[in-house]
Amino acid sequence: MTSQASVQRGSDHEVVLEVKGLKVSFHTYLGEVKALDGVDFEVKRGEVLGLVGESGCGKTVTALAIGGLLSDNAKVEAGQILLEGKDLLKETKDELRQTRLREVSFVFQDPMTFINPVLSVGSQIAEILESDKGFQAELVEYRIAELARAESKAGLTPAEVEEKRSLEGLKDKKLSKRSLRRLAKLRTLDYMRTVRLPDPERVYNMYPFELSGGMRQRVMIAMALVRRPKVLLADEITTALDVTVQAQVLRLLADLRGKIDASVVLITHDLGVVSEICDRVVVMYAGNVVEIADVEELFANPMHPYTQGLLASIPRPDVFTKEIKSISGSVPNLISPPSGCRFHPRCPKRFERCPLVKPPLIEVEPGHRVACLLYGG
Amino acid sequence: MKLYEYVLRRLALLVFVLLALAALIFYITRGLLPPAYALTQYVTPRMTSAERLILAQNLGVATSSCPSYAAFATSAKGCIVPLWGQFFGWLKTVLSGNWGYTVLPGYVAGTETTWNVFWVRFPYTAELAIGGTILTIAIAIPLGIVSATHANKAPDHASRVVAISGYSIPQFWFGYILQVVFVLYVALNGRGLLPVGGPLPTSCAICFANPGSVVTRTGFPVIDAILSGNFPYFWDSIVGLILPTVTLALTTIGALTRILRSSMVDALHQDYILLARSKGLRDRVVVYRHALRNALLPAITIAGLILAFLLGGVVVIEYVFDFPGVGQAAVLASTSFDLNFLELYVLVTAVIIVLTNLVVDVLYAKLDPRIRY
Repeated sequence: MTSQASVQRGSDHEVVLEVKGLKVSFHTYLGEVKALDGVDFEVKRGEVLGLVGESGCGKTVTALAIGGLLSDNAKVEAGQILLEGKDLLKETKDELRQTRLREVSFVFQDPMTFINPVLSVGSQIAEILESDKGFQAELVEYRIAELARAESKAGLTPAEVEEKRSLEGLKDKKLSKRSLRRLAKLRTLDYMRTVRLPDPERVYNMYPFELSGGMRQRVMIAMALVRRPKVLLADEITTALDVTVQAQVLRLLADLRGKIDASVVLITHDLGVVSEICDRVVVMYAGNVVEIADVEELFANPMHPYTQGLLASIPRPDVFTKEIKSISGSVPNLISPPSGCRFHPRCPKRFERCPLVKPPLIEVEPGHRVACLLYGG
Repeated sequence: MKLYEYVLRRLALLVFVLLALAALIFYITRGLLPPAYALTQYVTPRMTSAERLILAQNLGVATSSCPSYAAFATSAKGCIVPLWGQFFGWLKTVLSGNWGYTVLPGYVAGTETTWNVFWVRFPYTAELAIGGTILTIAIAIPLGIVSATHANKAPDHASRVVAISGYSIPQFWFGYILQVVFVLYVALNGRGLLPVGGPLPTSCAICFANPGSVVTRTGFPVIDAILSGNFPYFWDSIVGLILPTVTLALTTIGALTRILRSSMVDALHQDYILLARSKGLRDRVVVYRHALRNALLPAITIAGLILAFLLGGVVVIEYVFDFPGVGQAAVLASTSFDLNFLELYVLVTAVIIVLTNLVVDVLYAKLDPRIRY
């Protein structure tokens, strides 16, 4: 994996998604919560980007903002979200829906509550393909290719020969609802195999409550992959799972890297997960990006005092410590956030300028950016 | 367990429910009255004391050792069968089909059996209650959905006003207002637009002049009209139902709308809706396929209760619109000691409620795969 990762990490790599100066606030009864205060990062094609930080630091808000899924009381104050150059913040509701359908897909934290309890899991995957005419050509093409493969291998049954001929004759014409459903189901079963769900034909008709947590998470991953998105936003996908199942899901993600062209944004608070499968890491604190670096660089040379604190607070079995280190203080109240650098009240290295100046994100070493006044700005 | 096994098991339980209910009603009505009331529906004025004593003995109220009717009427010692014995005597009589003659006011004594009177009247009440339930569901479900998808906006406020006025307005008053408006003021060719009600409209502008003949097969005017292929009669029987049904449904529309709204608002805030939206599904699919299916569960329970509620609540409507239903008769029966009519009314209502609950439970299991019967 390391060699593959280093190939994909070339600095000239094409940027798929770019978030620039994103500011989001929520209007609540208590006041305006400034959840995001200028978030900048970019996602390169094919990479796995880790988005890390404590609960409430704005990771999920960033993801929801990218999909246009923020709640009604949220307001995007400033910024741009560029997906291959087009600004998602300028899209209409329906264009955004199309973007979610085809280009940006989500996997959420808790597979128990995020999958509709009263619909069969298979139908919840297949409905995506059935919902849009745009998938039709893809489905037909895919089925023809599949039949062709079967033909070269073992030959076709007469029914399959007939099916192939009728599909080839179809090409640009409209599929009937029944055959659309059938093709969508075949494709769904295929993706259920891809995410290693056992016995897909049976699981297709099962309901979420009949599946284990790991299987449900695989179902959600299949939902995200079946439309072949450009960016996959995975929000705390391992948090609600047992440790062994976590490992399985992570291994699945790692194995899928080669097979899918999607870039993955892995949102997590678990630095262990980050070190396992991410190429680059974005560290967030209280609505700001504080550090961006390649994963090995970040673990070897953390620059921001917050990142240093985070890494120091991981208990390590090889080093004897009397006490697990922690960052003193708590996550700031975002209704009235600290002035200047939002981390300064908890920072062990603060000096007199910290409360006064908001540090810009500056590139200290190639590919390693940090927002801290210790490094200039 | 298979579906039909479950249904059969529930129907078997129904027998026990009915027995217990019959005993309860028997105890409340007969147990608190002098034993002579047991004869009310079976006695004729010309019967001699000796005949009356034999009747009382046949009905299982007087003991075989009772010397005279006078002794029975004064509840002399050893003359009265204990209450549980009376109950079995009564059960034997009614199960053999003898429900006695009705003593309801408006019927010539000793001419109509209670059984017949009940079943001639019952279809009218059932039509009202079923019509009211259908109307409630047809209006409340779309209204509830719109209120939820536009929560705290104009459509929601409007439906809230409709709902709260609905269950605040007294039914008899609203029915009266409807009659005044549609029968007196809104007229066509000098006749009221809609009929006041009653068994069959005879004078309304938009109905056909001559309903023609209809073979009574079920007693339900609407169904008989369909079976006889008589379209004018069918139309008339539907038009005749409009005002009473609207009045009846007013209360329940409000209740069901608010319940569906709240369960729908709740469903729309669930995580699975966020996932459905994140999949790029159209709003229509998100609302109807993903939210409504979950939100319908509590609403279905209420819809089942509504039918039962309307069956009982129909009494006022029957008075206001002069409908010859069982509700009106049941009130009269309780004051004129037509005890068998009361028993029949309670038992049939119980059967309907149990069956409705069964349908609700089956639907529930169909909609929510997590529920097993």
